[in-house]
Amino acid sequence: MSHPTLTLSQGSRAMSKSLIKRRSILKGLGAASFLAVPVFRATLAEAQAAPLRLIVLYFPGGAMMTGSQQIEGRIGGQGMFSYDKMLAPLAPLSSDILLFENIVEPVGPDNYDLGHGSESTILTGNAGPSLPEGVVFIPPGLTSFDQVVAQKIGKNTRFASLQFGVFSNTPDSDGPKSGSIVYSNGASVPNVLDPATMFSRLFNGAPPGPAPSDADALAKQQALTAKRQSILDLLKGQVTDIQGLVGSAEKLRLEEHLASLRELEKSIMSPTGGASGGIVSAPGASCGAPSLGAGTDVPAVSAAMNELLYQSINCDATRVASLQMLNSGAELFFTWLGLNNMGHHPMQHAPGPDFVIAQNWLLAQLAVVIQRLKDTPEGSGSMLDNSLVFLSSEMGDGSLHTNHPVPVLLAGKAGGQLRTGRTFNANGNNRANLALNIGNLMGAPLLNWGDPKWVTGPLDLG
Amino acid sequence: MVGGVVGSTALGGANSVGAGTGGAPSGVIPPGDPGPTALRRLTNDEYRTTVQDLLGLAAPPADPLLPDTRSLGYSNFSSALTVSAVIGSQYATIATRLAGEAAISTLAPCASPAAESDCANTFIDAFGKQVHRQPLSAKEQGAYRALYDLIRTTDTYEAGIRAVLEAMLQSPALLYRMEYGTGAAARTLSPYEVASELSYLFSGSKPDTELMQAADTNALITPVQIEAQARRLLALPRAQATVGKFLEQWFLVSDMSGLLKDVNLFPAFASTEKSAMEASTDRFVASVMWEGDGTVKTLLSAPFAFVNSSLAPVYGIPDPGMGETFVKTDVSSMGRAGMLTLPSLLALQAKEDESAPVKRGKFVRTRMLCQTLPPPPPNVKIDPPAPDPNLTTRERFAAHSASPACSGCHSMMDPIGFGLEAYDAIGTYRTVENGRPVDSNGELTGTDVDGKFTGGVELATRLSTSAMVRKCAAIQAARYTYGRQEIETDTQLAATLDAQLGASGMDVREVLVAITQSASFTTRTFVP
Repeated sequence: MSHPTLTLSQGSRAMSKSLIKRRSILKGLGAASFLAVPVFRATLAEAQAAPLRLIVLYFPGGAMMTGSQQIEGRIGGQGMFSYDKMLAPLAPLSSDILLFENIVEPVGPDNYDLGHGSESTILTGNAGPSLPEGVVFIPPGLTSFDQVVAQKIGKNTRFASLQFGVFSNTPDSDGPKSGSIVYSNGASVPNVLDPATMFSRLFNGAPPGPAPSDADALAKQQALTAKRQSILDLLKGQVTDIQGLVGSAEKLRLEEHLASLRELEKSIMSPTGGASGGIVSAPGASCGAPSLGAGTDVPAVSAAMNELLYQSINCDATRVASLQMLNSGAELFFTWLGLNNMGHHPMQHAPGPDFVIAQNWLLAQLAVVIQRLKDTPEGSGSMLDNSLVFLSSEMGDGSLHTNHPVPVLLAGKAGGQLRTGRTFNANGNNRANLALNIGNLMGAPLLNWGDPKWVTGPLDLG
Repeated sequence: MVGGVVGSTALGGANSVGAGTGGAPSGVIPPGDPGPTALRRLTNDEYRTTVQDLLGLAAPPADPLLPDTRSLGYSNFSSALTVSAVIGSQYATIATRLAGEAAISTLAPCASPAAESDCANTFIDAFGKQVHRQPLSAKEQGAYRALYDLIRTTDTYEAGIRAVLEAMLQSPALLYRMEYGTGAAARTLSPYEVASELSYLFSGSKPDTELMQAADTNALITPVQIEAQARRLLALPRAQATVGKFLEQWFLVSDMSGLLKDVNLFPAFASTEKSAMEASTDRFVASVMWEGDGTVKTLLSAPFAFVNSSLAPVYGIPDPGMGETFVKTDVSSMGRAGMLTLPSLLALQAKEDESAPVKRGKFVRTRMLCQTLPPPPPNVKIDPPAPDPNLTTRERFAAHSASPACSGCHSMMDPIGFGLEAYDAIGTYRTVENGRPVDSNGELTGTDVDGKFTGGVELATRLSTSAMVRKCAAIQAARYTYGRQEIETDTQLAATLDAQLGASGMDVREVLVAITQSASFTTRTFVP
């Protein structure tokens, strides 16, 4: 399943050496330096290259790219996914964007368009076998490209990756209900949809104070750390023992469990954190726990998740994050826009001006994420310059449920490797192959990844 | 998701001879096979109840847990459940909180400081056995003891016990049910694995004292021994919740929380009607199962419903006058019969502003007849017909039947769904839509109860006598029992059970007991 044409042409980054150097310095400083990363960045940012980040942004329902342009009087081609139409919210960012034309999702089994099913292929490049509707079968070991990147670059941050979601609902049906596009080791990695849950995950525990000065408090702190480490060691041993008893697919799924324990292990470095740990916001810089609005409606959740995602990157709590606005097929009513008569999924099937308004709103939320990165200075540029944002939707045309073409754009310069401010015609090449480019750009080549029928080699992005 | 078995016949699925869906994804399991070994993470409900029972809590812990991923409508499919980073940290948070709050003097009493070491061992062995649902191995014992010792060197006995408790409450041995047995490819489950299998099936929690004793004494081996335990558990109050959960997941009515309706058309749905529908469904299921004969036949044909003030308008009957209290009411003359005509089910199988004949037809095919439908052909335009205030839903959807590209499959769904046109988007009974009379003539094809019918009552009554529906019930019970898609063995068992129990209407409780009596219940094929 290897890709013979895999090249590192885009992966040999000018920055990789300095990153390695940075890691070794971190190592030299000892474990406690995890907590000081933001400070570290603030003081050494000028001398050291900033880390690369990968951010996946997703909205469902597509952009009416093939069949529904009658509204706008346009047929074929790029359809509505252009700066003067659905992408209007991203127009101010166009100089930081590489916009794709004519890029497709590979077809599904029996040459059917995958429709909602491409929610599970968009990041994985693998559709798995054809199964009756509603059966969740995840091919053993299936891993989405963001997770391959996270495995590679996530070791030195508190969280290898974070999954943000805004809204997910599919009323009781026999369909899969996870609604996440992220997979790891053959398991679906669910989104956190509740800002409070994500907040406590990120910022649980007391704010950092000075290390305890009296010997008594220090000893207590050390004892607590030792206890937590021992418990985690015990649990890791138990999971590993079970791995010795089970079949290969379960062995891989248990790797997810081990990864979860490793993440908890990082949290016990925080002496004041709760059981689930949390990043400790360092004084200085702009890193810190945001104050969240009290609302639970979708716009409020979206704003909160936006803020939390930004802070998780800004605080270097993670370098790999995804934000999924809605799940595929969500029946959400956009009441705050005055769209009271139809949910998001039905609007997809009866596309009209309301659907454009809804998609516009979703894309506007995602544009904010990109804008915030752009507005944050880093080194001689912005945080966006050192990031790679992948923005896409599962379908091209929600009405027809087609996946060719699909809306795709990259934003950010990936540390100077990517030339933005242009449109790239993929000439029918597929989204799974673009994932190879992303892996390379992130210094995490995707090996043995995806369905070999689809995944043949990276695009030549020029 | 695209899927479906596209064979020579449009209708495949477990109820079609030779059209088995392959069961396990590898598709290599031969007929007669008991099914693959499985590592089954507890569902959130199972985890909460288990922890409640372990610690003797008044209520299950209400801490947040990421929702279970559903597969085929069920929350307990092992392939869909895993310990991700988020839920892993949630388990840790719960374990830390509960270990900190636990009454150690009750859980691990110790009379004197001199006896502490022995007390710790006793706790590890006894409580550990409850947590692991089998006796601890020497290695497991040693690891817990080492943790206790580490803490005890600098802290109290109580602190040592709390540390062990914190580890146990997030142990993989607690979080996963193993159905592995030992041996080569063909395996027999251990008595402890069988005890857990029985206990989670009927009680939704860890094995109770009696089950553990039966496992200890090798008294969970023969079908007679297993049947006795199954019937004992089925008689406990807990069984009402677990059997109810199975039935509601089968009929896809277990969760209305995400269901939204057009607020202009249905202003009371979100505020009062939805919660009343959920409660009314619980009452109906419980009534049939525990006050009635518990049969599939009654579930589908019962003339009564539980109606309160909120639901009276939906049923089109006068307010029973008891406020929010439900009154068991005969609604058979108001177009109702059993599960299929419950407002909850009809509202779920509908759109936000109108009925959904296709969805409802598909529901009957997949959930009640266990048939599978092929996916739509490539590039078919699936825009629903535009709203037309002068036509009924049925009239607008007639295009499906007219278009040759669509009619192949839609002839399987639409004629059934059209028969349910007398129920609107929230299941309210109606005879007129948009000023035009509702036509609820329908037709069943490709079943053992084929023929034209009029309305939901006739459809439900017809289905209540169908052997295919009864066999489907047994297949659904197998899905729920094993937490996986059915395999050929399950389909064969379903036929056997229909032969045994069908004449009396297929008692769901007897189906569940019968599943525990099959060889599949205690054996597995190891999938390396």
